[in-house]
Parts: sequence; C-alpha cells; structure tokens
Amino acid sequence: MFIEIITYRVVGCSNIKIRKDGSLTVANIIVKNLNVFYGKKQVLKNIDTKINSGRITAIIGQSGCGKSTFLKSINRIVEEENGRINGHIYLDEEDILKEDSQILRRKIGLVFQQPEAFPMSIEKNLSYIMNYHFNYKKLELKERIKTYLQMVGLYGEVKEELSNPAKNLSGGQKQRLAIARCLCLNPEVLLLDEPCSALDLKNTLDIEKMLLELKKKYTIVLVTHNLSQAKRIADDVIFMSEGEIVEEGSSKDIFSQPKSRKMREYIEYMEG
Amino acid sequence: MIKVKDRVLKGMVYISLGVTIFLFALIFIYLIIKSIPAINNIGLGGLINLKEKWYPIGATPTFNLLPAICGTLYTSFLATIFAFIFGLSAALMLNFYLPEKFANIIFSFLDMLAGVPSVVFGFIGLSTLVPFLLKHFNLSTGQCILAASIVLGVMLLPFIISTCSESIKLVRDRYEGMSKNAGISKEYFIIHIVFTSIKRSILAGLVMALGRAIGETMAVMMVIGNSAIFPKLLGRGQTIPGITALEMGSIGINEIHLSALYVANLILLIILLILILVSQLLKGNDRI
Repeated sequence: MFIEIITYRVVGCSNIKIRKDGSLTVANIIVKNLNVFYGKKQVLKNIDTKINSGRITAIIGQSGCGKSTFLKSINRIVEEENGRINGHIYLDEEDILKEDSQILRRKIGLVFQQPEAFPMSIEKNLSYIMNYHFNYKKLELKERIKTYLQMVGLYGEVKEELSNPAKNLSGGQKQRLAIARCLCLNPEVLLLDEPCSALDLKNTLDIEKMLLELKKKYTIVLVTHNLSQAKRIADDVIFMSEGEIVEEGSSKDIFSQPKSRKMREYIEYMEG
Repeated sequence: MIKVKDRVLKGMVYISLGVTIFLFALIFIYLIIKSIPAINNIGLGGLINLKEKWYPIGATPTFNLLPAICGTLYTSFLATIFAFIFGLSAALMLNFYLPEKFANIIFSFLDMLAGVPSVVFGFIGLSTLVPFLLKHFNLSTGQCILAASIVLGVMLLPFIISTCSESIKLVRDRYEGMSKNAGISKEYFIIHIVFTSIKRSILAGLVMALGRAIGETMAVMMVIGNSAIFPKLLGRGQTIPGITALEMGSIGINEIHLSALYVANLILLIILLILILVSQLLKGNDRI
C-alpha cells in the first residue's frame, strides 16, 4: 500500500508526490555546499553529499563534530535554535531552504535523542499531530493510530492502554512512540538523532529491527555513536570531523577499508 | 569534621522550621484567645448575620462582620479575575511572541513593579481611576468595589505573570521542540499542550493570588470607600484588613470592639489557610 503513486498535488508552496494511502514518496537528499553558523561560529563547513532513498545512512564522528547539526539542518530545526544555514539542501529537486518550514517538517521527521512523549494519552500523542495536518474522520484516525503503532511494534504492547498517559511508558516504548509520531506525518525522510543512546540492548535491537523494516518505505538518516549499530543496520556511512565530511561510502567499504587516517583512528578508538 | 558541619546545618534547618511553625501557631492561638470575649458576648450569630450592620460606636453597638467579609471576597475575586485575564495573555506574549531579550527587559520591569509600595498604587488609583469612575458612571464619590478590584488587579499582575510564565516555560522547554519538529504551529501547541498541561498550576497560582489579594490593605482602603455595607460593584464597601487598619488604633484595650476585630482577622487567617491548602493540593497534580 505504500508503493503506488497516483497523483501529484500542490500542498502549500511545494509539489509533493502522494501515495494512494496519503503518504509521501521516498526521496533522495542532495546537499550542496552547506555551511551552518551559530552566531559567528561555523559549525558545518562546505558539506557536499548525497543521501540515497530507501537506505539507512549513518552519520558517525566524535562528539561536537557537527553530526546532530547536520541532521537538524535537514529539517531546518537549526533555524529555530537561532542557527544560520547557507547553501542548498535538495529533497529530490526541491530546495528545502526555500520551503515553508511547517510543510517541510511534514516531509522530514526528526526523532530526538531523549525518549519523550507529549503530556497526554498514547493515542492523543498521535492524534494531536494528525488532527493538525490532516482531516481524518474519527474511524480513520483510530485505524491510522493502530497502523503506526503496529509499524513501530508498539501496538501489541499498549493496545489495552491507548487512553492511558504516555508518560507511563518505558524509555524504549517512548522512543518507538516518538518514531510513530514522525510516521503519522507521512514523511519521506526519517532523521534519528542517537535514538538508542538512552536505551538498553533489548530496546536498541527492537528499534534497529524496526528501522530495517522501515527503510523500505523511508529514507533514513541516523546519527549514532555506536559503531556496532552503524555496522549492523547502516547501508551507507558518513564520517564527520570538525564540521566537515571526511569520508563517506557504503558501510561495508568504510568499515573494512577506511581510506582516511582520521577514520582509521576513530574506528580504533571506538573499538578500543 | 564534614559530618559535624552536616549535622550543624541540618540542626539549623530544623530549628528554623520549628521556630517558624511555633510563631505561626502562637499568632493563631493569640487570635483565638483575643477573639473569645467577642464570641462570648456577641455570639457567632451576632458577628455574622444578614440583618445588622457593623456599627461599633452607637448606643447599642452591633458588630456584624459579614459585609466586610463579603467586601473582602468580592474585591479579591474580581481583582484575581482581572489579573488572570491580562496576566495569562501577557505571559503567553512574553514567552512565545516577543524576542527573548525584549521579554527579559519586561520581566525585570515586572519584578520592579512587584516591589512598588501598595500606597503608590492606591494613590494612583485615587487620583486617576476614582475620578474616571466618578465622571463616567455617575457615582457620588467614585470610590467603589470596582475601583478597588482594578487597583488590586494591577497589583496582582506581576505575581500572576510570573506564576504563569514559570509554568509555561517548563512546558515550552520540554515539548515545544517536539511540536515544532512535527510542523505544528505555536497557537495549536499553546491550546493543546500548554493549556492542558498547566491548568492546575495556573489554578494553584490563582488561588495564591487570591490569598494575596485578600490580605491587601492600604491600596484597597484608599479607593474602596470604607463603608461597612454589603458590597455592590459600583457602591462603597469595606474589607477586613481595611476595617482593622482604620479602627484598631482608636479602640480601648479591653473593649469588645477590639475583640470583634480579632474575630475578623481570625476569619481572614482561616480563609487564607484554606486557600493555601487548596493551592498546594492543585500544584501536586500537574501533568507537566
């Protein structure tokens, strides 16, 4: 149901491809000469890369190298934090820097590091977002809540307590709910900023399994400090250092034959 | 050595708390003791009824406290409602719509406003608001419950704004990023997340504000008209703190009149205790 594209329609100022179920198509992200500044400090320098659709791309690097800023530039949350973006980020052919930020964030969902839920029930955590963006009828809304919770493997665990406060969920469940909140926007791209850093191994593996399933339908960009995680689930890897991309390529090549000295040192350091 | 220091600090904290509770209990007991002559002589029916007036200096004095109690509650409720409407709106404006630097300047100004002596508010009310009401509402003096409520409302504004802002900031820091990230507008976030999360904190703040309003003396006394009659919006009235401040100094030590004023203040204290209790209960149940 997520494959067939039936029409193009104008949403706000952009042309968005709509699937039969209302979700959007998977898109490539092309970054050209991207520079990001916080005040006078330049955090990202001349970033040029292509993030391929339908794959998981892991961004790795030391703390403070600009991984999260790069991620937050892609859905322009950087601007909300008084950052300044120069350059171009294309979602297929559309320059996202020229788009309305609310429409953009419907297309590019971001999951934060800390598992957090809105102070309302589990189902309202999703309906809060869907009621804003879409005009689903009550029955359809319920069906969609069920679908998205199933997609993140949470429905079975919470189906009896959908009206209970989401704050009572465990860290892993909250993180999966956060991903479901992104999915209910029908995005093209999922950005995840160290989504498993606050979770135990079981919850981490659950989320990884879910991401491998989701990559068939979404372009996924994952920032992680966990090299094992990047090796397990990433198709492509971008290695960053001091605000620049040092090396990028397929996960297999990067980890088996790192070209740069910095990448080799980083792998040695992380693997002890 | 560190353990000794820890014990000294702990001991000091306990002693300070003990002294505070002891002083409060002492005030409460003192008020009860001083109220006993009036309760014995006049009876609770004589102190609170719908028929008599507060007329303590006549040949047959009457000591009905109900008009002053009603005046206190009427003025305070109205003032709290005024302050809430403008205070919540101002807090939202400061937190969501104004640039942070500008908002911080206004917050400093509000802190300063909270420190202005109440007599200044009373004086401004007396010289601007009272003549305005006199002219536009065709009143005999302009001093009335409405004037007192407006002056009191302005005095409560800094407290309401800062209480609302604290709660709003907590919710904003925690959830606004997530909401923006989902492409949701500020206004939708305010209605669906901020309001629903902080309603209990706001209510607790309002109850505390009501407590403050009930105890306010000078500014209210200057614009309310000080007539111990049942209050009307555009009529004169009197409050318990007002009646106490006006009459306390001119009464003999052992007179029933004085004891009746102690009863009035005992009632005020009990109302305040109930409000504080309600406020604490409300605070404990927030969803943030």
